[in-house]
Amino acid sequence: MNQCYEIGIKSFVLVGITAFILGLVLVMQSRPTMMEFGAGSFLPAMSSISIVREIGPLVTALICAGKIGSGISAELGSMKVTEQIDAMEVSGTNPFKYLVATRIIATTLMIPILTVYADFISLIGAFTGSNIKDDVNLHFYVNRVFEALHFTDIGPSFTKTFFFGFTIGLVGCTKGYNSKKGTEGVGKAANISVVVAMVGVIIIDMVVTQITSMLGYL
Amino acid sequence: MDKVIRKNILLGFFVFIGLILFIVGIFLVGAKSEMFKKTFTITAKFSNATGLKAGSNVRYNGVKVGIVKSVTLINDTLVQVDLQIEEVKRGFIHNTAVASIASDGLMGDKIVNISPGKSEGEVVKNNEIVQVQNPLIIDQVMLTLSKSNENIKVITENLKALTSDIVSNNGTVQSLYKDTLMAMNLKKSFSNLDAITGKVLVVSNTLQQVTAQIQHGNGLLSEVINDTGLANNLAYTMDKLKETSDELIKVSGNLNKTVQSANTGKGALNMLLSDTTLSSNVQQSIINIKKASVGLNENMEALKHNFLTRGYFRKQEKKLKKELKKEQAGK
Repeated sequence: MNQCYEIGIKSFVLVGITAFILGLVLVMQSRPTMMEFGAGSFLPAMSSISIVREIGPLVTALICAGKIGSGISAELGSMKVTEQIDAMEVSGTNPFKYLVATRIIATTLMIPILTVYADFISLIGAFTGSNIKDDVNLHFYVNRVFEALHFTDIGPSFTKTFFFGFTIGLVGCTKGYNSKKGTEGVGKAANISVVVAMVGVIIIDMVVTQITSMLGYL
Repeated sequence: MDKVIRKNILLGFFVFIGLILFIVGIFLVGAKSEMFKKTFTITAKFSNATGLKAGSNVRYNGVKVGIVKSVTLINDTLVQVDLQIEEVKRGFIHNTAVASIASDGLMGDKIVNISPGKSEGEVVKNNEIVQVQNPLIIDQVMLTLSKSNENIKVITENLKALTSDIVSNNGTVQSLYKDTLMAMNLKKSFSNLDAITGKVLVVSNTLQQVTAQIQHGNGLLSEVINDTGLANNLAYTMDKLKETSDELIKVSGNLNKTVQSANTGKGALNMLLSDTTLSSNVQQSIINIKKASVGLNENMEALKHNFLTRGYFRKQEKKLKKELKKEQAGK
């Protein structure tokens, strides 16, 4: 519960702000090109598909990899170098169960929920972006957004967020749990865990996209 | 402890709102995919379904009524497209409706558009096959355009050759273009043509009047045209004329035979016509008869004056006179 709170609620504001800005910027950047082709009315559809399929899950995962992955790694690393984990092992408590499993489960469960929030907030940002230069009705916007979306868009993107969460938790815990060389090692472990988690997230994203494409959903 | 409870409540609220948002999203997408509505299926079979896929919109006169359920290749020339239509819209779609594949906007996805048929039919039933209007295939259109372009190229080359020929040679067209005398002649011809058409117009007006008079007047021609009785009489007369002419043909045929037989046969008529001795004998006989009749007249006159027969002739004269008197009295 505590880990869920730390991962979910404490990352919400950061994820929310980032998602809102990305939705807004996506529409503002795409609008001139779309208007050039006379396809301005397709902006809601384009933004919804982009956000739900890719931007929402990936941005959430990358932010969480940076914030949560590094946090987990640093926390476990400092516990390791201060021999707290060794003390737990001596006292008969399984540190893997109490420190690692809880964090991995928390990231695996919280990142999909954060992604749902990120998608909605990003769509609100896109709606705001559409209304900066155009006058788009909310009803029309919602209709166009959900008309463009299909379960083949939501299913794979939602599924991959579980893998993202699992990867972030696993990498953070692994790097933190195995950190060495005192406080310097903690910093290094945090740094490496962020890099590895981000690369891992992007590789998983690529694999899921490839599988989705092979199944004919793209 | 309070802090932990507060955290847990906040976390629960966070997860709950997240799940609600997720369910709302699923519901909205599902609603657009006709998942939560009562639907029925109809089928359209196209020769080409390029760009159409499951989930594409189905519109009736431009209003969304359902989605494409599946696109299946059933043989080498036909693609079966199952359309999932909302039950509440069933009443609008009749079995005479025509399905066609169209684009949703200039750059949009392919959709199926259902249009009402030309005649009013029954409301469409489940799994009924509707008529289709096969889409224009862009490749074929481009192929036709390519052929048209080739033809246009040939035509323009011919035109180019023709115009250069006109300009360089002293042909009729160039004369027409440059020769002022020909232009004058043409002008005159046109003015003559104008005068002729004026006369033709007058003639046609007169003819029109004549035909009007024939149609409405009491002349013979009008009667011939309008009077059915006269027409019947004429037809009867023509029939009779035909019969008469047939008889005449028969008679002339018989006469011809008679003449032939007279010419070729050995009868009295042939002898009379061909034998000169007989004709001279006949002539001599006629002369003798004439002489005999003169002698007979003298003899009769002598008898009138003879005392034996004189009484008889007087009686005859008296009888004649009586008859004449009776006739005059009767008148």
